[in-house]
Amino acid sequence: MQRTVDKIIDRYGAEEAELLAVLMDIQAEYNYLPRPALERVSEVMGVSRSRINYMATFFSAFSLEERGKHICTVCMGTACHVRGAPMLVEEFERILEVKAGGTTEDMQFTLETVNCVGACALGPLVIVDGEYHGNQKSAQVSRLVKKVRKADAKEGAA
Amino acid sequence: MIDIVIDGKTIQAEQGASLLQTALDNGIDIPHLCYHPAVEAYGACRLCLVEVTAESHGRKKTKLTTSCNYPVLPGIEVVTDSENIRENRKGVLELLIARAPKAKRVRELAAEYGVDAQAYPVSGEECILCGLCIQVCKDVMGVEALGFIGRGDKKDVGTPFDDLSKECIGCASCASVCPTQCIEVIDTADTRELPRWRAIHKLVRCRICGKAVATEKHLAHLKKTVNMDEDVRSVCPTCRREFYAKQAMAEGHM
Repeated sequence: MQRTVDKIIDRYGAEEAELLAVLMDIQAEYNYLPRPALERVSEVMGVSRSRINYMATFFSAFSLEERGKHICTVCMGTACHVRGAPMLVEEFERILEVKAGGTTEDMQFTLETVNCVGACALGPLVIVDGEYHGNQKSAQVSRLVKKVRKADAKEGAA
Repeated sequence: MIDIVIDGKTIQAEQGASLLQTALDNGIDIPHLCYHPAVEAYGACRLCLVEVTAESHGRKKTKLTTSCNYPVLPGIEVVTDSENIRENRKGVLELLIARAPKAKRVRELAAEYGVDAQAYPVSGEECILCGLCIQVCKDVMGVEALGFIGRGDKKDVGTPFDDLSKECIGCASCASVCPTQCIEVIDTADTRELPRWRAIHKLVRCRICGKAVATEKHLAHLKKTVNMDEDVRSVCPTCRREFYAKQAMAEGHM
């Protein structure tokens, strides 16, 4: 992990101003911000742990807890909300058997909500592993999950 | 030095100095919680509101602003108490009392401004999130053991990753500047505990009189930052004074 983190820091330089970019790349690498990685960032960049912790907890895009392999995000912005986003969340919670913000026991899925992704015309929106799905109905949720599971199974078989 | 007017009185002040500090130095009281002369004004508590009239683009304009982080500028006229100011401070206090109903100082100020009905949902906190402890820890002590955590209604002050602090040296500076006195320091025979930061430190006792001097980590920190005789660093201030007095006498300064 140390070498991976060092490489990421090398991309931007050890200036404090680059902290956000470094944290984003670490999150992209591990799907969350692992403690040892942050300790290493503090050491190499000379930024206090308090400062890193503040940044990591300030942005809801960062997670300090390990997240699942696949991340399902339901937009709960106003436009999506009035078009039934809460029902989508409920459906996800039912299918994945996990509360919003949580990760399934098998570490496959993390369910998150976000307050507006800026694509209100497409609401309600669901983002699965970075892919945007607009105009979703709760009946489509299980299809989304199945698709991911199927792709995984295929990958596993190959 | 320039002349400014506060509450109709002309006052000599240093340009660029904090308006709040200038007023306080001249015996003009402006209520405040989060201001401390040792660190840069942060303007968190919003209590030190005053009305400043200044000329801009040839027109005189009056605006409501926090005085702690407003600089003394040539020609400004300041009012520290008016109907408008009191009304706004009252609004601020309604928020503060909802946030920190247990804090004595906040309650006193609220009573003074006639805030009783709690207009907002009440939390059981004492901390008003002014961040003074964080600033003192970082800028005065040079430690950075504390920081803000999260944001919005979940914002808090604490140690990184919420565990036993590696950085805290147990100097208790945070507790001494806290305007709501919400940082508890528990000294026992040989330990100092700061429950809010979940830190327990070993206390060092004075070699001569046996009184508690400071924590082990604090002394180690002083060793790095202050040039002081090893002999006197680990004795209490009283014995230290005695040591230096004796030394001065022996050298014939007294």
